[in-house]
Amino acid sequence: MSVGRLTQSRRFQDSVAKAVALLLLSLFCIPFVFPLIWLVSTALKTPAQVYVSPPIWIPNPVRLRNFAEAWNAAPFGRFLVNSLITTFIPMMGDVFVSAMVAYSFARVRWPGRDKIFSLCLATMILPGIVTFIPTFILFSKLKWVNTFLPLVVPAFSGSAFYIFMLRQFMLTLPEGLEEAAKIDGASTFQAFARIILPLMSPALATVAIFSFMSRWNDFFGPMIYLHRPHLKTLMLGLATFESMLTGVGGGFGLVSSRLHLLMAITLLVDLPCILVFLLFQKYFVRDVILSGFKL
Amino acid sequence: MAITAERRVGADSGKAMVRVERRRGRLGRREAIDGILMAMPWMVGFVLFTAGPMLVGLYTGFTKWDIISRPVWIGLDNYVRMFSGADKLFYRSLGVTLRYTLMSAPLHLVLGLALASLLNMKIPGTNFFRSVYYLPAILPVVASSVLWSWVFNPEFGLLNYGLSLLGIKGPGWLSDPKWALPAIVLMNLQYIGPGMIILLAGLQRVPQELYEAAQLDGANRWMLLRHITLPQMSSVIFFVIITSINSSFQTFTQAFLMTNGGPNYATHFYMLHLYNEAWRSYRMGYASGLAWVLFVIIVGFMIVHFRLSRLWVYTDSE
Repeated sequence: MSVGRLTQSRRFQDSVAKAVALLLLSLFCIPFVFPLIWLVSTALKTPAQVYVSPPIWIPNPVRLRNFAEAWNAAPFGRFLVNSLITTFIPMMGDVFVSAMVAYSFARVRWPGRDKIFSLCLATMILPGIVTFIPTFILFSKLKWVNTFLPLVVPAFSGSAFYIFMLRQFMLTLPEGLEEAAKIDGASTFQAFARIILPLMSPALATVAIFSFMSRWNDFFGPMIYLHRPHLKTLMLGLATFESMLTGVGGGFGLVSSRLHLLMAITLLVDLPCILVFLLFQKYFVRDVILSGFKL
Repeated sequence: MAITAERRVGADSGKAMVRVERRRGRLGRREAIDGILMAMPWMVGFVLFTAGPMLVGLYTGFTKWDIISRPVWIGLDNYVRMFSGADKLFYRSLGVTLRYTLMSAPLHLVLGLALASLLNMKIPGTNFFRSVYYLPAILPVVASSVLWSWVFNPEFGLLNYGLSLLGIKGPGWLSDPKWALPAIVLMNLQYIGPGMIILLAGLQRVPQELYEAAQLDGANRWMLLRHITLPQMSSVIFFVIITSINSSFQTFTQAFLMTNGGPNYATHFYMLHLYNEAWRSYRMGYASGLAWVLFVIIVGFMIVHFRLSRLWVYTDSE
């Protein structure tokens, strides 16, 4: 009897706790959702509807022309091409070179391997700040400033974080998978490319998506290396679109007669990321990222 | 791998084993060479883009160098300029960055853990909430900076409108020296998602039996959190702290775009100072010195954190 009552009261407690949790989760959505709704709303307004208090949430009339107007206010087509180049070419390096290096660390025996891998891990938490300036000097001495090379070439040495992730994944594959192929005379590289790589697609997809996000969103790299207007990426285009506006620059509240256009272009730049996120959501929460933790 | 293979073969016949052994030796050497070759891109990259630049930066930190002419050795002058206060913005920017980190990192951990715990309660709609909290983190910082400049607009911005609904008159945010830094802390709370996901995955790995056993012994929710969840989660928490310290110290884009360090240097982050020295004033030597100082500070923080973690990070082996 008393046990029955106990479980009953526990069940009641549980459902109350769940209701409270649901409420808290919903409340906490507000600061995450409303700025984005606000973005969409502003991007669709006529200039007259922008600086209005209290704010108008649903624009009337809806001004779809903002997108085309904003896109044509600067050479955004060119910027888009540049962004695609500086995203997808390095991505190849991030994915395939990292996978090859990870394979060597995970499944090939060679002297000193584990020490080198520890070094690789250590670079993961190394603050990048200490390499920015000398690397810039290196690339400027090579006359690589105002080319895409500084953003592309380093990717083909692999990236510590992706190497780590992919290695963890490879360690979960059964031992001796490649042995048969090797007995038949396949080289280590062939064993990697023909046997391991095809089994890796979920992990490779995860790396590809992370790589896409960080390359597409990168601002600092393009800013210090790409100065000519025709080399700008979308991020640079967006950032300079802003400073072209009047009343902007240091301690401001963003006052501009073209704010609706600025928000339209911001939304367009956000869009690919949102799409990638919605399409490949599951990869963002994959255990691969975590498999390195001893829990 | 090697041992099991040999054992299996050994069970078959001794002769075959000798043959395989010999073959293994040859294959082993070949494999070692292949392995080194395959790891070579990373090793070359490490020398060219990490270790080399670090050493070069250490050297240029002792020089005066505008990148066009030759570097001139000036000994400790750069560091004297920093620590003597001759560069007024050095301590200023360090202070801003430290204050920002002390506000931001604990908030990210506590809120991340709170949200992760809520998401772990198996409530309907969990996937939806998880996506909502994660989404802003994948948007370009440039785009978010533009959007949040508008959100922070004192008169027409979303934030002060929201506050006014609660009967609060909001401050000038980015234009108010007192509120500009907290504004950036607030904005960066949208990057809570990735840490939250890692913490959530950590929570999901805590063995349920532990909770059940403790509950049978009459433990309440607080005791479960204190004696089971936190110890089991300690290595994940440790990782989240490391990454958030690292990124807080190197905050740049938001301040660069939204305030350019202002008003009155209230958001003059260390990275912004370094950027100005290197790429606006072309003082590469001095900026390299700045980079090394921040590097030492971050690594110092990490070492302290590692040391302290021995007191509270729980591992199975202990």
